[in-house]
Amino acid sequence: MMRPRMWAAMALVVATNAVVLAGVAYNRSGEPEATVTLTERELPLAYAVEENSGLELRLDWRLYRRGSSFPGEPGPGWFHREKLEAVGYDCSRPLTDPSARLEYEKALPRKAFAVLEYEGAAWRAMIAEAEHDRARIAEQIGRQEATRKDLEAAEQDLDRLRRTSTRLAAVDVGLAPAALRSQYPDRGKYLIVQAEVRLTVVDARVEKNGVRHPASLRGVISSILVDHIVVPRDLHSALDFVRNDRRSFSGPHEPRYRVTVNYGRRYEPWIHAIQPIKQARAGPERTQ
Amino acid sequence: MTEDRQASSAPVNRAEAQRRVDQILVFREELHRLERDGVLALPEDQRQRLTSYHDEILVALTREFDVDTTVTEKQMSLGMRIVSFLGALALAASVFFFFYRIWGLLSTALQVLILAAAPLLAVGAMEVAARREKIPYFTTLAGLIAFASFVLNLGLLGNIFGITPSQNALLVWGGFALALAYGYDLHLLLVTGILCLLAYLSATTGTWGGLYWLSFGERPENFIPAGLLLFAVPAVLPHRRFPEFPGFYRVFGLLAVLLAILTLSHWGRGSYLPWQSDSVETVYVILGFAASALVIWTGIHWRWQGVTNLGSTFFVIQLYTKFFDWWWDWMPKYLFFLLLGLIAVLLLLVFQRIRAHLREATA
Repeated sequence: MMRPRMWAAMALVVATNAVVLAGVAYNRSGEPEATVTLTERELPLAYAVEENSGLELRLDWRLYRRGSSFPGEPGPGWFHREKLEAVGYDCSRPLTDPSARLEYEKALPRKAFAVLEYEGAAWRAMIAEAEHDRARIAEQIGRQEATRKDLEAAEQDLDRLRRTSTRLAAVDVGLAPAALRSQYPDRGKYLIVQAEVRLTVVDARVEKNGVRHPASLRGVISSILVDHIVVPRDLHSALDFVRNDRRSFSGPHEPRYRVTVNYGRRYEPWIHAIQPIKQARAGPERTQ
Repeated sequence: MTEDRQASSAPVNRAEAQRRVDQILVFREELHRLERDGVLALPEDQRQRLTSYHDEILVALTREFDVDTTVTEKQMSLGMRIVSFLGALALAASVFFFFYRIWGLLSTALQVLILAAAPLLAVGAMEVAARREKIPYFTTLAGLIAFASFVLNLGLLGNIFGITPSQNALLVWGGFALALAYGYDLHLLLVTGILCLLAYLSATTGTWGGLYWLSFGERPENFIPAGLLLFAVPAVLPHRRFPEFPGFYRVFGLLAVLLAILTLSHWGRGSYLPWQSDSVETVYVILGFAASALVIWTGIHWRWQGVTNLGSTFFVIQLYTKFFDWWWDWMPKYLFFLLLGLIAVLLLLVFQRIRAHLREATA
C-alpha cells in the first residue's frame, strides 16, 4: 500500500504534465497566429554540446538599428518615451529632476510583446544606411580621413547585411498583442513574440559639429523569451546535410535551408516544415 | 533542530529514536563514572532492572529504527549519508545527460512519455526502497533522482514545445519536493522544496512590482517577504509527526532575509528604495546589525540553536565585511588586523557576559 503523500506527488506530476500539454494543444489549435518562412539567416543551428542528439534553431534578430544584432546596444530611435509608457513605464517626470533620473536608472525589466519584421522596410533601411556609410568612407579616403581598411570593413558589413545576416528586425513593442496585430496585419511578414524590455537613460552628448543632444529615455529589447526552437525528429533528416557541413559554425555563409515557422495563440513557435535551398553562385546583390 | 520535540512521548521517527539512544548511552557512562568515584552505588537488583530496561529500549529502537548504538556506527552512518547524497547527484546528472544523448533519436510523443514517466518511476523506486530500509539512504537517493527527473520533465517540455518560461514551474517543483519530503521524512528534499518555494515567492513578489519574473534576483528585497513567510510556516502548521522540519523552515527563511540584507548593505543600487546607493547601504548596514541581533535573541529565547548560530554568523560577517569596506584602503594593515583582533576580544567579553546572565536567569 503506497503512502497517500506519494499519490499526491504522482498526481502532481500527472496534473502538471496534463496542464502543460493542454497549453501546447491550445497554442497550436486553430489557424496559427502567424506563419512565416525564414531561412538559415534568421534561424541558424543553435550551438549544442557534442553529446546532445537534439537539434535546435536559434532565432537571430536585430533591433532596427545599424550595425550589430547584439541585443544589449542602446535602444533604437523608435523605442522612445511614448513606447516606454506603452509597455508600462511611468516616464512622466523630466530627466532634469535628479530624483527622477535615479528612478529611471533603477527601472526594472518588464515583459512585453515585440513585433519582428521579416525582410521589410527596416531591413532595407539598414542596407541603405550601410551603403551610405560605405560611400562616406570612400569620400573620406580621398581627404585622408579614413583608411582602405575602414572601407573594406564597411564593404564587408554591407555584404553581410545583404547576403548572410538576419533580416528579422524588431520594429515595435506593446502590451496588447491584438492591438499590435491590427497595426501589423501581414501574418506572413510580422511576428508577434514575447520579450523582455528595459528602460535605459541615454546621457546628454555633443556631436563633433557642435549639435547638442539632451539626455533621453530609450527602450531596449533585452531578450526574446523563446528564441530557441526545437526541430522535431521527423524533420531532422532535412537538416542532416547541414549538420555534416563543416561551415555550420564557421562564420557567415549563404543560407542553406528554409524553415516555415508557425506562431500559435499563445505566441509560442513551432516548426512546420524545412526545405533545403539549392546553392547557386550568387553575385553580391543576391538575396535569399 | 529539536525544538518541537515532545520529550516524554515515544519516538516518532529515527532522529528522535537516536536522541533517546544517545541519552541512554550518556546516562550509562555518567553512572559508571559516579560509581567509580564512589558517589553513587546502586543495589544490584536496581542495577539489573535498569540495565535490562535500557537494553529492551535499545533493542526495540534498533529493531524499529535501525539506530546507531556506538560511535563507530554513527560515523559509518554519516559516511553513508554523504555517499548517498553524492550518489544521488551523480545519478541525477547521469539521467540528465542520458536523456540529452537519446532525445534526438525519439519522436516527440515518445519524448513526452519518457519525460513524464521518469519521475513517476523514481517515486515508485522510492517506495520500494523505503519498504526495504529503516535508514533512508536509498530512499533519499531515489527521491533526489525523482526531483531531478521532474525538473528535467518540465524544463524539456518547455524546450520541446517552445513554451514561455514561468515561475509556476518553481511552485510545482517545490510542491513535489515537499510531498516527497513529508511522505518519507527526508531532510534533503525538504530543503530542496523550501529553496524552490523561496525562489517562487521571491519571483512572484517581483512581478507585483511589474518586474519580469526571471529578473527577480535584481532586487534582493524580493527575498525578504518570502523568507519571513517561510520562517512563519512552523508557527502556522504544526509538525508533530516531523519534529525536525520546523528548524529547516526557520533557518532557511531567515537565511534568505539576512542574505538579502547583507547583499543590499554592499549593493545599494539593487534596492527598491528610491535613494542614492550610499544612503540605501547605510540603512541596510544598520538593519543588518539589528536583524542579526534580533535573530540571535529569538534563537536564545526560543532555544532554537540553528537560528542563534545563523544570527551570530551574520553579525560577524556584516561586521567584518563593513570593516573591510571602511578601513582596508586607508589604514595600515597591521592596525587593521589589530583592530579586528581587539573587536573579537570585545565580542568574546560581551558574549561571556550574556552567557553569565543567561545562567543566572535559568538558575
